[in-house]
Amino acid sequence: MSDTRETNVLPPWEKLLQRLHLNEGSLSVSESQMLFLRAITDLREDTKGALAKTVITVPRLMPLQASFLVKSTAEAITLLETNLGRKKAVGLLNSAFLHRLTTTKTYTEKRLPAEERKRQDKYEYAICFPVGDRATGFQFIFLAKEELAHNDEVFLKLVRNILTLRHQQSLLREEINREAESLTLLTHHLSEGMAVLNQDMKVTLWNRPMQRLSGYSPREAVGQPYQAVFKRTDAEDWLGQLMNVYLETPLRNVFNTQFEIVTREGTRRWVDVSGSFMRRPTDNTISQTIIIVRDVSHLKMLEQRKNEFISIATHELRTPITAIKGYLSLLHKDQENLTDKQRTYLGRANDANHRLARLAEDLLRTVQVEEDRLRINLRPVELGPILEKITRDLQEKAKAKQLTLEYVAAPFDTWVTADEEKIEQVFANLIDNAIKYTSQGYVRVFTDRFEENGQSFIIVHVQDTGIGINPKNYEAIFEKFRRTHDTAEIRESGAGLGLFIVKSFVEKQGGKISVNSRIGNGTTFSVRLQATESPKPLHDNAFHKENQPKQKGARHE
Amino acid sequence: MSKTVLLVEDEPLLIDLYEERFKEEDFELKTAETGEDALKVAEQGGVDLILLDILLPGINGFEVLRRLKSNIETRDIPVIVLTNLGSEQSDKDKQLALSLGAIDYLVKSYHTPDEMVEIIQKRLESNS
Repeated sequence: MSDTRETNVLPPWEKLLQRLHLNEGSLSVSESQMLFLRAITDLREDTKGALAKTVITVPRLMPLQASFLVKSTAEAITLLETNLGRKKAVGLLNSAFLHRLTTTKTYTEKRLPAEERKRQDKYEYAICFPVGDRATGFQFIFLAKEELAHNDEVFLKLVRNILTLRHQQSLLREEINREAESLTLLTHHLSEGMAVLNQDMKVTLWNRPMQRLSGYSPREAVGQPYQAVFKRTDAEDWLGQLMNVYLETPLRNVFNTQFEIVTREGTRRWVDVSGSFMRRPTDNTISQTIIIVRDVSHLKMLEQRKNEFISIATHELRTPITAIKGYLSLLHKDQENLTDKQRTYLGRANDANHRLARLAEDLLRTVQVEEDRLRINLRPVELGPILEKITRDLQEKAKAKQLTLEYVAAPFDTWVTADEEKIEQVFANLIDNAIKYTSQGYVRVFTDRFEENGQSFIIVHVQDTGIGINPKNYEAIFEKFRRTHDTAEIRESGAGLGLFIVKSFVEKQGGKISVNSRIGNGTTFSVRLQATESPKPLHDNAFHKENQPKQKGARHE
Repeated sequence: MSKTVLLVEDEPLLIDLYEERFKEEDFELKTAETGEDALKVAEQGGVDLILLDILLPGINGFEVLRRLKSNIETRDIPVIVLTNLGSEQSDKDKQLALSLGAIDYLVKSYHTPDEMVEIIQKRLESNS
């Protein structure tokens, strides 16, 4: 919450002058008067806004040169007494500020030496403000009578204005502090963990539920780097890394992720973390991060059990599928000895087994996708070269079916925020599917760009002239397990991912997928992704690209 | 001289299937239903190619592979992992098998016996 405070500090000297419709040149004040004004304006460095600053005005003239730092209220009193005389000093000490700091001190009448009294006549103004976080000292600045020679009016007006502003400001700050306190109190009663981090990724707010989750109390956590009190088991500075990615995409601020943490006591638990980066309006840099944390260990355990079960069951399924496939293929080799009817039955049994095999593979991949979910690595990616490569790789397959496969190169930048590997799989799959379901005509890949609510998007269309999809099935084709298979659609299952997985990948990368089709009139799949700036000069990227594929291929195969 | 292929497989359904198809071919087929048996057969010599399952009773296929490759007698026999575990795309099981020295990683349910014969023949030819 340091930010809110900062914004309420009295504006710096230049801004203040603007507010008072003045500029420095037009001020006919002496140098020491100027120093005095600046001093009472620019106090924030000393006080960090921890305590309201108070200014005492003394109804007599004083010299600026007299500037003192005192360490206790007693010293302050002595100082005031010596400089102003006891009467005025007591008057001052009764003012709001010093009053609450001088509850124990009593004053005894004391005659001041003659030369001290003489000095008293010289002073007109003094300011006093606490120094340090918890007012460990008080700074006094006195202004001499001579300083107010001929331009009293302007000077006094300025002093009054500044003092008024300061007073208003201190009231405001007190109110803000009170509100902040009650807000913090509120956060303790949330059911979810909540933490706020400053720009250095240090904790500024840590509610009680966070203590249950992490083992660290608010008192222990505040002021610590977040990694010290919220330890992810598989990555050190995950938030810092995430922040670097988001800094490249200035329009995105919200994130959601799940991972395992280890608590102070050494227990491991899965957490769901939603968060948001707050940016400075001036330069878009991140000033604060808010995270909301939920314990999902129980859900995670159930999910893992479910995945394990599906995984084992599917591997078991593959054995009878292998045997059926094998024997059917032996029968098929022998088909001259079969009747037409038997051959038809054989074909149908084969189709059914294909379907069973595909279902098993879909199931396995679904589990894999769920396990892969955390491994999405978002960064700026250039779509053009990726689409070009995929269409090149699939050219042969298209030719075998006498289809035209073309990529219409975009006349604009195609940088988007995505996971390079996964986005390649998405388009490879869509294009491969398009070829699969098209028996004549073409498959065309082209791009579009558009703006919405100040955000830029790139859309990639994969258009085919294939059998098409019934609009009432638009939703169903993206479902986890497609219930309805049009027999006409059944083809080789191949190694492609299901559309559910394509959709899931696209959405995990912050994108959207849609489909437009008419039965017998072709299908167009459109993938919308968030555009981003090219991160480096273009020639640099060309170099980068050339060096990349090898390593990536190795990971893939 | 005819070549010998060792099939390490514990599922009778599949042993029968492969035996049925492979008997037409000019290589000899030996089978082992456990990892331990497989190691014994391999050590006796004369095996030109091993088709190795992963999920086996007793020691699993990865362990069999590791032992085959650390034994001077058997380390030069090419091993194709033939399993219903994992996938032929990027997969941790496949990577583990390849890093242990397998020359290929095949998922049983993806291939008909005919395709298997083709793969085996190609491999045996390239060895001779």
